[in-house]
Amino acid sequence: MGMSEAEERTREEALDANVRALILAAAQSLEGNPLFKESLRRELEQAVSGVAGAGTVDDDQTVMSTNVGRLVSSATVDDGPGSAARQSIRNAIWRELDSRGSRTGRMRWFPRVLVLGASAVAVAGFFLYPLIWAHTRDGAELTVTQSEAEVSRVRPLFFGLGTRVSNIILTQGETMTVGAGDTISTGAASSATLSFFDRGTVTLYPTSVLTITGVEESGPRVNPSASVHLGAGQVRNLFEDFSFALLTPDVSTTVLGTAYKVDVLAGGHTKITTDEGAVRVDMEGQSVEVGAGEEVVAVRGEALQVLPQRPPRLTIESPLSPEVSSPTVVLEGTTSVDASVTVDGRTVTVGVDGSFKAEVALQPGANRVAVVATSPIGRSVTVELVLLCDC
Amino acid sequence: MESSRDVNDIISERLRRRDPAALPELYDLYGDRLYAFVFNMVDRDHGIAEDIVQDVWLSAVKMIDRYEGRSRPYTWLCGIAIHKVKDHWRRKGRDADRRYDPPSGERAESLELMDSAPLPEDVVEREDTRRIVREALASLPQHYRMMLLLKYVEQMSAKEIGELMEMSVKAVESSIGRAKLALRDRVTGAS
Repeated sequence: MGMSEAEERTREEALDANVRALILAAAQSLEGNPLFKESLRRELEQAVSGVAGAGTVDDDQTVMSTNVGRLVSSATVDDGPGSAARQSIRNAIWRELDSRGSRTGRMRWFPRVLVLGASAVAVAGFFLYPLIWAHTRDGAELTVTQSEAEVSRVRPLFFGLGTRVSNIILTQGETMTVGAGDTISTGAASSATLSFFDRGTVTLYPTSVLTITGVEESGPRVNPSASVHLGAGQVRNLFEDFSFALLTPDVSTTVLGTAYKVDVLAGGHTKITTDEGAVRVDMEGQSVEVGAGEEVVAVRGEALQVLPQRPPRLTIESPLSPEVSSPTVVLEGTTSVDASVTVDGRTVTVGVDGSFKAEVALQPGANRVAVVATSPIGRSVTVELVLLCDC
Repeated sequence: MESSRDVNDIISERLRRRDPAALPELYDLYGDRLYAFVFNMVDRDHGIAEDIVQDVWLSAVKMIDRYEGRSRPYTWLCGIAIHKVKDHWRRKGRDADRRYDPPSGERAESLELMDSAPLPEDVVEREDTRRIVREALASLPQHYRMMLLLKYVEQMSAKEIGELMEMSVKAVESSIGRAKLALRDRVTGAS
């Protein structure tokens, strides 16, 4: 080219500055639809209050309405910025490199080198697996999200001749690696999450007791898997490509799909509710599949019956009397832990135990206040209060 | 950007604690910017952009458990957005039939000397220049366009782009170099 190095650098800099300026100019001047922005903001808030947990369903509701909104129907998203996304981006890039290769003859060897390299790594991994994988990643990550949780750890001592029990208390925000033999108990107002190798999470709600009976990271020849025993309480499970088995005192469940929750109820009942995918439930030789939007209550000695999910529980605890003397009233109630609640259209925060609180302004005379609880799959229940304000 | 760094740290910390209420705040901070990014990636079609952006935010709600705090919250969102945009392209099958058509109309002669001196501001800001650059961007291979937008509009470092695309910093830099040349050739009408 006969161009000096300095000249070349100057040209490069000029091109860089110009490309930056042109792209910035071309990419700007956009007018998004303000209505869209506004409504997405609202949807997001709703979705966020709905993500906070999992729950139980009770009978006898006052008013019921089934409302599967746009939000919920479009929220069935499962793979994210993780490996699938990267894989697809990489694929596109390889395709592009490949087509460039056939044009220029330069890049053609590149994908082959990659394939050879990957095969070499796979073969090496096969032999190294027992040395590395089996011992490095055999645990799940426990994070306490609210209040505190106790981990009681039973580990063999002296080559299995005895056992050692230790108890560890974790407080909010703390994490630790837990494995087979560990039992996690959450307190009255506590919650925690268990994360299994980025493949799934189990959310533990208050007063739950969960024992990990087995957990294994994937190796070249092993699929990632875990098994747990839920002694009491309530958990919500979200999985992808993961073999997960959950036992309760009554039933065993196996994940066929993605999101479901399990609730060990008083009196030896277990309720399984599936929001996404499907779950197989086994009890006393019976086996049923609980699909998305369905639930089953397992009772020993009775047939397993799969039914459509019912709307969330919704109880108003205050005010209990329709007559109110002040112009504002604090409305309190409880709902299922995974429900979202609106009071007169306003989204309110639902705590880990399902409680919520909202301040309502009243006009003199009769006021109608609508409280709506909506489950993750969009089934909702409405309670309409009539409050007489003597103010 | 300096003033929003603290906010980023705070939101990042809350996302790590799986506090879903951090998302509406993230939306207030970056909603417009993310919309613009997606909008430019889908040939400036508002309908498609709206669908994808909605999908991105709802995915963010679902995947809050997987935010590890290694990247800035906005980079994390971009990762989700890139995935959704790629999905959209795959559905449209554009990877297969995208061919570069030399832009039909006139070229702006004033753009010819892109690598000898800075272009005057009035040329850059002209409506026909913008149109030409948009057409040129739209005609680039998708990952070139993505990289140019990530670098110049989102102002991400080569390292961040590399993490999103799983490429080495060197590979990102050389790809951006090629993308710039391709864009120049398309803008100036050279072959």
